[in-house]
Amino acid sequence: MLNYMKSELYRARHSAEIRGTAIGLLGLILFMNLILCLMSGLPHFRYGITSFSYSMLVSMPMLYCYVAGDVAVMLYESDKRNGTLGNSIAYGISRTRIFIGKCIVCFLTALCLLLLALPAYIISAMLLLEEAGPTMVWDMLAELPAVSLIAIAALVLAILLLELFDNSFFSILAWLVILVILPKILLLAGMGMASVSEFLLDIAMWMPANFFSAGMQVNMSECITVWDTAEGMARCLLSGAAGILAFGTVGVVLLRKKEI
Amino acid sequence: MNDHTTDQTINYAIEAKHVSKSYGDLRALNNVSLHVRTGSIYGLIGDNGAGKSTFLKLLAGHIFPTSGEIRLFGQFEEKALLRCRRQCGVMIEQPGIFPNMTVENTLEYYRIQKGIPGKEKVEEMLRLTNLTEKRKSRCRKLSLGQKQRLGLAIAMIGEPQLLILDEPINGLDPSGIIEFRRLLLRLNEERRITILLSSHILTELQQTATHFGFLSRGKLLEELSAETLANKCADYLEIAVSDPEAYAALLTRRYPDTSFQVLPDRTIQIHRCLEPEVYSSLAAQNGLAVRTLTMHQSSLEDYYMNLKNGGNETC
Repeated sequence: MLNYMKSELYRARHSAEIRGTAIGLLGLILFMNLILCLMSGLPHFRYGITSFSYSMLVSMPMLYCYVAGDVAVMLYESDKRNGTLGNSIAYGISRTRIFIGKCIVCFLTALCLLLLALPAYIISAMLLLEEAGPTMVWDMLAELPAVSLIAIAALVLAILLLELFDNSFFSILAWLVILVILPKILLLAGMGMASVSEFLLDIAMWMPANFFSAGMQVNMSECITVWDTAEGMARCLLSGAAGILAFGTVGVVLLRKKEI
Repeated sequence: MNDHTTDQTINYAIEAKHVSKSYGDLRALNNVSLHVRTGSIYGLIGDNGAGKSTFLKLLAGHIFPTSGEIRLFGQFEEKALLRCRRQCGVMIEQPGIFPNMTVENTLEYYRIQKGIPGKEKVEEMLRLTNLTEKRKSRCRKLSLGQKQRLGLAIAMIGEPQLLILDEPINGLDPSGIIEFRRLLLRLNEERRITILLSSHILTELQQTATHFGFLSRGKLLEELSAETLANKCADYLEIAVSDPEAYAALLTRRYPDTSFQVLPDRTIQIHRCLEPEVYSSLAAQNGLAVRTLTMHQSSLEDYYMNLKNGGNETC
């Protein structure tokens, strides 16, 4: 498996798509902070401060999941179509090892992107914008452990679905349904049934798409995040760990005998 | 009917025992038992949809048999098969390349994956497949023939003992086909690599393979060696004379080494024959009238068509 992972890391390093994602991400970050900086000269423009810039990321923790999913798609979307997965299988690498190897390589690639993007985000904000407002660098850094396991779970799910379905569009759609739409439906159903039983609502509130949107207040006057409290942080970590365990197990079971 | 004999002393690189593969109601392979001897070049012949690619995918582990057993180098257990596949180089349907990566990087990716030490292996494969000049080209910019050659380089980079190639000469120009044929023969002779290749270009297979298997509608019709096939496909002469029994006696007396048979329609089929005039003269000299005399020349194509249409074993 080590050789397989090494080869996949080599591929990630030489992937034009990953390079494009990295450049796009950095460009977007610098562009945003530069625009905020340029506009801070305008009268009554209140957003040219670090807090507003940081809050863009702090208020949307699901962004980490989307980037993780994007990395998985960039790396593995065309594996079946190009016949590269077939070559690895024909070389005697088991499907389970391929799945686990892909998850690890995808995680490492996403981590590299994060290590590139986050300092650029913080440094450009510090250099270009006035340091003020309720959202601090600390909030952004505390977000990392809170969302890390959830983002990994999203990444594992993305790889599982890309391997499972022949159509990548269907895989991406299924990923969005499981990660975003299904939790919202459960939340609505749980709220509707709250007068009878809170069971469904409790389950819905363990889903990241719900507890990140319902349990946070991040704006120009306050910064209240889920991971501020020990209970909230535990919820993030447990939810992410459960996701990794569930999607990982389903992946190993379903892909073990998957024909290509 | 099959040329193959179940001999324990023969080493088989590939053995398929009663293998079937179904997709719902569709039976892609039906009770196929096939044997590829170590060191041979085995040509798998069949029309589109005959089950060639399905069989090769089973060997490569892309799909699983519905029933039956696949053995590679005598191994059949799942884990042992995975280990054995490390001795295989495979190109099925497409070469398995990354469109945006360069030829060199693609080979380097597979070199790392297969744990081959030293970057010189990439150089060797580029040279072997005449892709040295294209090393910096992105794979998507290669011609079909170049992609096929890259596919072969990928299959070869793990130093395999067994090559499994599905329609490898598709897309190659005539000189490319000749080059590819020479390469396969060289690999087989110099490195003793066993090669299983499928094609529907039968003339090409005839020039390369040492053994043949004929698939039709998921069934293996026959497998035989090139030598047996040559004997079966040898030119023969059909002669109809006024007294076949007398002519048969004459043939036995005058040409005792001649192999012949009197067919139910009383024509005589002479195999490994001399010039046709010899046989017409023999009849005339002995007062027998020659009604028809036909020389038959056959090829692998004739043999396959005959076999497919349920004909007898000779062409």
